Amino acid sequence: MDLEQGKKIYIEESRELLDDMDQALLALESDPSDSELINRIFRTAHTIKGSGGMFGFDEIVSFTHVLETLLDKVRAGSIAIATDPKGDSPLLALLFRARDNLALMVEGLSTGASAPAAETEEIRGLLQSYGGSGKAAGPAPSAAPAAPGGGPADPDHYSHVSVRFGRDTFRHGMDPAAFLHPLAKLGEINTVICVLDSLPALNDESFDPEDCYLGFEINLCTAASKTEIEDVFEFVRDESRIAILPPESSVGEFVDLIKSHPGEDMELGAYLVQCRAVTSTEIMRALEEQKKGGGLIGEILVKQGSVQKEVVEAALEKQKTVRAQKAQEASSIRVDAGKLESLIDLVGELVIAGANVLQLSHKAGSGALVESASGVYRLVEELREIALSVRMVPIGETFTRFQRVVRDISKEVGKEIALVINGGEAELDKTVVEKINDPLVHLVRNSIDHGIETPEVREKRGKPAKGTIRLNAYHDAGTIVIEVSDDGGGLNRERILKKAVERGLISAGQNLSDREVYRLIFEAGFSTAEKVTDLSGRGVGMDVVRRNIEALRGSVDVSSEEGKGTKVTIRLPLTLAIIDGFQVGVGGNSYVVPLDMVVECVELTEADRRSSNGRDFINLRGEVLPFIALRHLFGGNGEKDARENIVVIQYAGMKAGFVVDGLMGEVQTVIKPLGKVFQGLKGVSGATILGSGRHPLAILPPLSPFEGERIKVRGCGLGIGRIEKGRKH
Amino acid sequence: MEIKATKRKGLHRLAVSGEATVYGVSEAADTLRSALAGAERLQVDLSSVSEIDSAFIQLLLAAGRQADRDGKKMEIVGYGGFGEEAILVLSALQIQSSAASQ
Repeated sequence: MDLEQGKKIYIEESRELLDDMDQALLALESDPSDSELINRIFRTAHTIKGSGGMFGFDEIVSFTHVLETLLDKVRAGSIAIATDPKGDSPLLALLFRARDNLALMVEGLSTGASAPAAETEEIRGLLQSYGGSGKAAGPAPSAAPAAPGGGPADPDHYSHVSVRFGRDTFRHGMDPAAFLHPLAKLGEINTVICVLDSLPALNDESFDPEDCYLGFEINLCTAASKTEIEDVFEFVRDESRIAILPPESSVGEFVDLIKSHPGEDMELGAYLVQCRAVTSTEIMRALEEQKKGGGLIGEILVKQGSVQKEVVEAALEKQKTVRAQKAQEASSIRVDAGKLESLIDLVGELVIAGANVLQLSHKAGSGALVESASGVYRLVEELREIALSVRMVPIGETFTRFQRVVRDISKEVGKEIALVINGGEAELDKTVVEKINDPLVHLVRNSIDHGIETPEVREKRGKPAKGTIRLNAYHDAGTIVIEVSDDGGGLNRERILKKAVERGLISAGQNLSDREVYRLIFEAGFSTAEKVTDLSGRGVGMDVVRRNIEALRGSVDVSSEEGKGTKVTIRLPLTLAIIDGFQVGVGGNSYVVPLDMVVECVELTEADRRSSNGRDFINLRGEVLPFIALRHLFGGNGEKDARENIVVIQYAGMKAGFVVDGLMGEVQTVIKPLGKVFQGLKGVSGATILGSGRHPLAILPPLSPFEGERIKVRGCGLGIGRIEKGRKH
Repeated sequence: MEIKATKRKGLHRLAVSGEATVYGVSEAADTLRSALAGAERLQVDLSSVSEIDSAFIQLLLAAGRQADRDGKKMEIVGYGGFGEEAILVLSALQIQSSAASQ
């Protein structure tokens, strides 16, 4: 593995671990007594330190070491997570700070910028001195027993160490036996059991004399801390499995050990003996019992009182999952995003080329050729589905990061706010997820800063003091809908109107619906915040949010009820690259509409046209359906067909029709961005190439919400194009 | 590492001398395989071994497993001047084997 590659993986993994640490810290804040959370935080720090050492990232290692030392004390219970009456904990605040600083350091590895040294030093100092006794523990790993009263741990106790060495241990120049010596220095080794379950016999094919198949179960009498014991195995830690159980471990800890045991297909009894949950004589007795009376060894052991039921259950479960786990381990791999990108590009080209072949085969008129070309095309279609699904990720991960955002900002502004997340399992394209993050942060900040009122105001208004922000996601007609809502004060119609007139966005006295008024907040340079705060209110926010979302071929809308809250709805296409399209012909040109939006096609009869009376509406089974003639919109030439069709489009819960000359049917479409010259085009969001390679097609955009007499066609990422009814004779 | 083989009827004897470590473990494996294949009983003499490591001990164990499986007998005769770690490992193995034979 070359070092650059390893570094990349390290950064990636550390990011995930830091996210996990963040989540655990947040959870710990709401439940400081949950020891599993502290363990989780400790493990993440430990892994970051361990792998950091492998690459020689000394700064990270030494910083994480200090953090880990403090966490270890918290874990051992010598430092408690105290909260003051306001629910703040200085320890947690410090841990949050340390995490953030560590994140900066990790990011610094890729950007080259380093975390501010002064800040790092300050936090390091705080971590070291936290809890008063920090100095005494010091960084020096003393082999001598801790001074009496220095800590609550017993001066001498038995620890259980369970190690399974990695296959390459010998090749890396390491000798498992060599670890016993330093262990013996820490205390007294009571027993060592050499675990040979995975050792094959000499003539087995799987036996490679240079592979290491060894493991140890060591019973150690020592005053050393867990970290000190772990440090003995520092050089093999990454490839080996090491578990260290504190003295007089509870049933639960043995259960954990069994669960974390490397996947050897061992007999249940052997598991228990090796974990010292039972002795081998007890096992023997149980085996004899089993021979006599039958039954399950686990049950007999429990009956004998040799072992607690929970331990047996955990071991049984472990046995069951060993094989399943092996299969699962291979089911997930890390892939360079760039490679995936080029795969999708190639699949896109393949879609076009496949369509071309199919078209030519039809022309050639050979039945066999058409058949095989269709077969290829179908496979390409499946390939496309899979290639795209590879890039799909659930949005939940992005959502959960907001827990921290909400916590930090609400603390800052002195409001109590809960974040409720729904629909985190909804999937969308990874590139879309990445790009939607910033707009979401902005919307959430806005909700916290302007939406949710202070607790006093809320109580006065008869609402619970604690405000709620909701993040919700769901799929709808080929799009994903993301909602950011709050139960705050809502938008103030009068204030928006006043501001809009001030800024010259509308003229005084213009009659606008609520929705149109609310949409004004997405105009550039608009902000109604009475005071500009650190967070928002400078009026650069919402229009940037809108622009970002439109650049993703999405749309954004807002609804609000004064005094009750505000809801911002973002609608995004599931993917940016390849879509199923519906091809239509207008005046000699072809256009493609995303197939997911097409509801039906109806004929526009002469009678309809007459009865619509030039108002561009028809009566569709008793419903009013507004329509746009694409011929007028895009100014197509060529003769008008005697028969016209209406393609009924559904978007954002509304229906509208496009009047077209011809319906050409379904087509797989690779969307190519338009060149600079054409980016001002309204109503078109990209171009594509047909199988014939000749016709560049325009993609029709999603139709934006429309109301009353006015129909708006929005060019995604291209600004708003308005078609006033009056302009179209 | 050097391995001298002597053969008397069904008894093979391998005398290992020098450093019995991972560096020669692959060749040693081949020697052990062929010795085991042609013998009912195999004795491995470690008394001239100046250094032994876990890789070699592991090899001996694998050979022992093979012998068990084939219904043959393999024994270690004589221990050389090993480091204390190796003795720890070997004693750990003895605990293991005596527990298994109980």
